[in-house]
Amino acid sequence: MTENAQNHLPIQKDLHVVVLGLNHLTASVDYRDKAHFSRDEILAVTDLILREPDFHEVVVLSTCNRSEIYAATSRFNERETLLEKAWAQVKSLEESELRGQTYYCRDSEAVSHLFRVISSLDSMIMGENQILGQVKDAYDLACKNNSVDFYFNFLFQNSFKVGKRVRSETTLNEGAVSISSAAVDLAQKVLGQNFGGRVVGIVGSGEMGELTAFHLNKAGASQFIFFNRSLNNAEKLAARFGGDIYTLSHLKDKLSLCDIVVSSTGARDAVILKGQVESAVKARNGKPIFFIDIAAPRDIEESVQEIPGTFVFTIDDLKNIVGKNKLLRQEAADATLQIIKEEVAKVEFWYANLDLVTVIRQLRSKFEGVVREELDKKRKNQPSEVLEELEKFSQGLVGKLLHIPIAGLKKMGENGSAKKASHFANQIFSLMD
Amino acid sequence: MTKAYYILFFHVLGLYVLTSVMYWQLFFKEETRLIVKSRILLYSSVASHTLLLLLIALTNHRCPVATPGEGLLFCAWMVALGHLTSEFYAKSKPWGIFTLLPITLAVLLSLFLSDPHSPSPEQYRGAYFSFHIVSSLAAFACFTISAVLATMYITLFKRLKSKRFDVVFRTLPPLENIEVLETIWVYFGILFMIIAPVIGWIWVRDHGGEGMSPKEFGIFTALFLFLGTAIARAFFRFKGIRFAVSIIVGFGLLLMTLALNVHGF
Repeated sequence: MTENAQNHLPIQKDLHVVVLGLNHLTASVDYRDKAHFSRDEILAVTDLILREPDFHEVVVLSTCNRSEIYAATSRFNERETLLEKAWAQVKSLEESELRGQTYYCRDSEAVSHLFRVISSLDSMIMGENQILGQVKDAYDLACKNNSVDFYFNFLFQNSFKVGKRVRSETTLNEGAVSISSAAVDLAQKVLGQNFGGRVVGIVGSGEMGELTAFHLNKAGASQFIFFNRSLNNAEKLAARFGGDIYTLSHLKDKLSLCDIVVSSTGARDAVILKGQVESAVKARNGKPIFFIDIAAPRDIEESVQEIPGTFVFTIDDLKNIVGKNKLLRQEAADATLQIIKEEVAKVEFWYANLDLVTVIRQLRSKFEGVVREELDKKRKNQPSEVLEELEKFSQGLVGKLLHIPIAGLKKMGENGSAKKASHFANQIFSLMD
Repeated sequence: MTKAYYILFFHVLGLYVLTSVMYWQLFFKEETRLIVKSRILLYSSVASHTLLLLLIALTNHRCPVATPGEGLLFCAWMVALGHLTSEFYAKSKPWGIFTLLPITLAVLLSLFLSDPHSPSPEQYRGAYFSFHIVSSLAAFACFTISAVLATMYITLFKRLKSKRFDVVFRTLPPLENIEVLETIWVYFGILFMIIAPVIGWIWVRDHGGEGMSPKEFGIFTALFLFLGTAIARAFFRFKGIRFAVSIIVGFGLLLMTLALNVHGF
């Protein structure tokens, strides 16, 4: 082990980062469930891996769509079977089956993979925001478990920076990519970001309507009115979100109370008619009503769009928006890859210079050792004030003498010749003696 | 002073041009990585602009509104300040390009209408005149911002109605937010526009003037239009697209009045 100049923590020379994982692309949803780690299982598999002397750091990430084990090892094998063994043992899986469903990468590829994961480039829905928090949680758990050290501290802290950079410098996570969240985005475009104080009318008790109600609720809407052919089905929704329940015949009276109306009945004919909407708009004194018609065939008469003070969007409009947003995210992927490339290069540069930091420290230490040796010889014959002055003088002299060689070594490091610089310094100053 | 004035002037103009380019990219190309840089440029532009006005004031020992060019420069500064405040408090995506373009244009035009050496007549050095002009320019700045916002409202409204989901649709702030902002600026504009003629009336009276010029008539008409719109909004739910259109009409009337005045009407 050699001493790290910055942290005074011991660092392991020639450490490799490896990752073994499975995701929605490599494994079925059933297998992902089987292979998923609970919190206790994460601790168990970490413990198993760290028992091996060549494994020094471990972080386990396990979500509904992926499970991954990141490890820092001084081994240099093509594929680390130990990780598979540990995973299979903790989850009672067949090793061969696990091997067939997982991917494995190491060193720069592993670093790049981590950055791709945290940027959500590798997610089922590209640009989703949850993954950043999930990686942070995995890292926090590893910190509490003392299974991270110098290397993974640096790597994961940098990965959080990458995640933030991607989200602030690209449009990768902008725009809704599901029908229900696109509906909410549209409503926000008209009524503002927060729906606190807004009344939402849900017509029909279908799944899409419920999903849209969920997203509207997340966006701050808390006042709901549910309209349905039968009150029984609407009761379930009212129990979940709170609010009043009415049959469809009450639409014409209660429509004026609603700022947002989401309609998704299975009716063959329109249930929201132009006349009803005109009366509602008049009663609202010009306050707009925002309609989302998710039904097919349409629940809202087409002519309602012509009424001033109304905005009507159908499922086709929402699909159009979702399609455009997906395209935007695709375009942002190139910019994201560029960011990842830059950041991987920084990590590689840092790693290559780790050796150099150690060498510079050793060089200083060696020269200071020589000075101490010579001063010790004079200690008996000189008064303490003179010794003090001599010590100050020699420290200053060492600093000045070493300034040029250290600056030269650092310059070589900056130019990508860190290993060469370390080798030369070792040879010239016999630092290994 | 002239050298310092021109150096600072072109520095301000250059900054505004750069800022406009940055905000254009931010809005139309959705280059979100430019958000921090564009905000820094905006603050730098406004800070330099403030210095320029201070330079004129300190050198000439008067309020920097004595010539049409200075008035334009002062008005542009107020619009820039207003936009900065809006963007800061609204926390909406930077839509600065819509205010920066008129600001940059106004600063450029002021170059042709300014003379840093111009000694202003004695009656223009008085406090009443200065406050009158400053209030008038503040009113004009507020109405400019509200007109820009009203244009944005109409643009987004039309896109929502025609279901055109392009980059402009994506990057404009919500209708509700725009309407709140345009209302605030209309109210401020009305306030300043009431203060300005009151002070102006005192100034004119003290200098033996009387009657109302065609420019003043035009401005009062615009004021009543804005006032009527504000009252209608507050009490008669005169909101949404109709409110936005009224603002544009009022601002158009204001511009026409000033343009006719410049041409000696």
